[in-house]
Amino acid sequence: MVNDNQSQLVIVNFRVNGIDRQVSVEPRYALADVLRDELLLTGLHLGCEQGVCGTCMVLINGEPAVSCLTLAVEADGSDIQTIEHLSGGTSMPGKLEQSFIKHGAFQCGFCTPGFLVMGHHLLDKGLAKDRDTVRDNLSGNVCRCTGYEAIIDAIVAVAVGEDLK
Amino acid sequence: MTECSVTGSFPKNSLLSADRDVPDDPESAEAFAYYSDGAALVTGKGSYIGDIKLPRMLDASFVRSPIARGVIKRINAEAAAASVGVVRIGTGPQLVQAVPKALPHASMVLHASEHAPEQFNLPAYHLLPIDSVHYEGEAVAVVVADNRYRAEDAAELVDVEYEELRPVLDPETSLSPDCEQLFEDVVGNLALEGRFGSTEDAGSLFEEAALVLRRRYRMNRSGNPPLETVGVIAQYENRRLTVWSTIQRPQILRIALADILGLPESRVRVIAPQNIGGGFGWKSPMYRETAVIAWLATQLDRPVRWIEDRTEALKKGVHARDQIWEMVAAFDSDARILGLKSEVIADVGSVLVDMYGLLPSRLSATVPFPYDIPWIRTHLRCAITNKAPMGVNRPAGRMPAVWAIERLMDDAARELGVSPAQIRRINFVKEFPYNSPLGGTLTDSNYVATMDKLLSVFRYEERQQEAERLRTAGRKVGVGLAACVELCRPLCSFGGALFYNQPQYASVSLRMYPDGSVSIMSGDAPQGQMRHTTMAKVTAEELGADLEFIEVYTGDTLLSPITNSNTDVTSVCAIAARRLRSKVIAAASHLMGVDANESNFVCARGVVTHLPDGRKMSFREVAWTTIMRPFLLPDGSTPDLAETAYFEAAYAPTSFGAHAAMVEVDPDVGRIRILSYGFVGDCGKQLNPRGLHAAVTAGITTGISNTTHEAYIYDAQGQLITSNLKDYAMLTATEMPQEIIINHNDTPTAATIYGHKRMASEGVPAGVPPAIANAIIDAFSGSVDLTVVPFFPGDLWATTRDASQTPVAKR
Repeated sequence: MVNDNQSQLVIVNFRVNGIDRQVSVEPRYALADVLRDELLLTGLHLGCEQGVCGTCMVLINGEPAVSCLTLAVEADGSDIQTIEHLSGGTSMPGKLEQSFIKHGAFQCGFCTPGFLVMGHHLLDKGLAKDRDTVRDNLSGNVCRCTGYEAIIDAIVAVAVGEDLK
Repeated sequence: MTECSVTGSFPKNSLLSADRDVPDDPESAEAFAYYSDGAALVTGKGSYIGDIKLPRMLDASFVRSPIARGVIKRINAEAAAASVGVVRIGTGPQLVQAVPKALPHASMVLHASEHAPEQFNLPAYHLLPIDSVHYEGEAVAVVVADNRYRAEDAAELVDVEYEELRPVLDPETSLSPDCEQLFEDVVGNLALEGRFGSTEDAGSLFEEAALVLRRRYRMNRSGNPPLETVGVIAQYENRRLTVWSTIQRPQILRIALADILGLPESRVRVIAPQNIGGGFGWKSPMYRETAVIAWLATQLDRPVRWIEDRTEALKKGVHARDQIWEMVAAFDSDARILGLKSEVIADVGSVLVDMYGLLPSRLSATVPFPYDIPWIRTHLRCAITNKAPMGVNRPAGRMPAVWAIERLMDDAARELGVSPAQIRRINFVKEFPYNSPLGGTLTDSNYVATMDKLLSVFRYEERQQEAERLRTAGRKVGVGLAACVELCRPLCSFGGALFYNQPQYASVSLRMYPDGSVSIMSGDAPQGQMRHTTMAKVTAEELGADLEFIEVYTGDTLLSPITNSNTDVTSVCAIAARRLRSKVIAAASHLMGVDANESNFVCARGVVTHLPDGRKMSFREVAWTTIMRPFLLPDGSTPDLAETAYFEAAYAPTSFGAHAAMVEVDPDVGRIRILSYGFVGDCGKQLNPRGLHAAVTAGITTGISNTTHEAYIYDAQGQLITSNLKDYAMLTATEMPQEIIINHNDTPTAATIYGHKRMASEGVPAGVPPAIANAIIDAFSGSVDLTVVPFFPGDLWATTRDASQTPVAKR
């Protein structure tokens, strides 16, 4: 079998969830595929691979990005955070995660990592105090199971310091 | 709480007339979400099909037809076969050697059509087409490579030569006598014809009516594809086939795959992953790609995976809705409906993937309306066209029928000079059970009270006045109503023949281990209904076990008894848990040396307490002895702490939803804003209020999305032009109503353990399009007409512009 130019690999260095990682990838590889298949970070999902649904969202240098339309090579040198890190993990889910459970902000859970990544970003930037601002900022995430209202509630609840117990 | 008597088909015993409390404390319901419905999903630890990795796994990619109709002249796969990483290429002519049977005759469909009263004419097809293609996006070949990128590269190199034929895209054209036949075995392109309703003649009913209304309503193609696409992984080892699939019906898929591939069912195992990213019916059919991947696994000695991409998902189908309703309705001068004749044409597309291709149309034609219509006839014809196949999409089937009847009621009200609320109240079914001439029976409900509650919580009259005031000020604001019945199919095999090989019963196995912990094994494959949580909670409550020691295994055909999709797992878990509790108490009473009278015992949090003397024994002590030291039990005892239960409701409960919308239209651009949306439902009993609330909100969202956003649009050549999520636009948070009011008016059913009906949420989307359309028409004081849905701002702008140029209201 011919070893053609498709298999030319490029070394990419980035920091993922606080750990420096090096991967060798084809230039065409999407960041989402590298995170899921190489680094086994399967929390982000692929709903459309067209940059519309937002379920593959990660933070790149603190800004939300759709990892399906980001090439891994573009992310060279950047600091990436995925839901596995942002959430605190199953043993110690953070406030936003607890709020999602309390408010019933998900059903099948497929879109949830994307909404959580965006939620963390909005909370960090102080953009989660009112429902309208949160709503506007969620226009890049699609959910089929909840009708969004509970998601908005869950994010705002953390911003306003609602008791999550 | 209210306890209902139980009339199900399971054996009656004293336990089933339960005198104990069932889980109905909303606060405790709020507190608990089972791991895979809760903590796992918010931390990125959900386990979906795309997260499964098997050693040496290969990836498959399908070559799909770029044309809507044509003859395959030649397939040249040489370049593709030489491409890097390619392991195998499959085409129709090759596959037919290995799998000679044609579908659907190889799957369960034939059996169904043999026993159904009406004629089913499903086109037979092979796993991959041998010589012709029937819709754009139909799979024609498959490429397997060592990763997905390479499989897709090679798929592009497969050269298929077609002789293109002119596609038939309009269902009425398809059924016209001079239309070409699209499949050899479907005469007149008629996939199903059914005549339902009153047998007696209408007499002079229509001649003597005060009003005879003739209307044509159409609901075009849309649907409810979930966010996770379809995926399959197949592995063949030691002559056993294991298939991981996003299927909603793993047990049915196992039966079908064994049949198609000629394997004994005992060697086929289907596993639906613990988490499925939404289903909505769209994941219930056995797509032909699934069988292709399973066959490839049997050939390759390596696991094969196929995860479809979004464009494939949209082009492949299944699609939904797409029906034309020509109605003639007779009303008396008191606005009472006397008779209704409906000619229904359903566009079911091509290559119907299984019986579910025709189910939606049949449901649409036969699910009763909430109105008492003394004489009713519906003539259904399902037309084959060169579009993607039709299938079940939430709400299964009846959405176009609800659109038609609810628009008709408003149109009649306007002609008769009564209000939309009045005409509904006058005509609602008031006595239950109500046997509809269409075949179904409406039970256990109160439509008038439910609608009245909606009018009250939505402040309907106030809003009407406010809308009128705003209209006087020049704004286009209106209020609309709708109502719909939900037939709770998955609880009961109503319509016997159609479900000949689609058992509707729920089943579950419980197994207690020596440490007292319990696994629940269900063949149901939850797709985001929090059903793991429901099963764990009901079982823990009924058994008296500690929630922490209950584990829920779903979707694995090897672990679980046969069942179908989305069944009443609540009732069946309650039954199994009550029986297991009896076994625990029997063993405990022996070990305590007391009388086995169950009323003397309480089980809670994994402890059995003998009330008369307060003695306690943990489940662990009881289970350890029973399973590990059965010699301590009476002679003849077996170490049996397992239970398998089946449950099928004695009849299909019906639930009901009343809808109201307040809408403003910007006539300059045709954009609508939903100022408020109201819904009052009857779900029998709320078991998980928080989950139900989210599901109802989602139903409203889907309904709006199917009214003004989502549409499968084909061009004149049969190309799907809405083939990505930008064009096939799913409603986002920013387009939600400004206010949503959800409430309940529940009438419990006697057909289930707790009085719950189908989680009413499934049927919610059906009522939304007519509620919104009726509100828009009200916003223009009846001067516009809306008969076709979905409609987009451009359509609305054109309609309202025409209306403004017509001095007199249309019609």
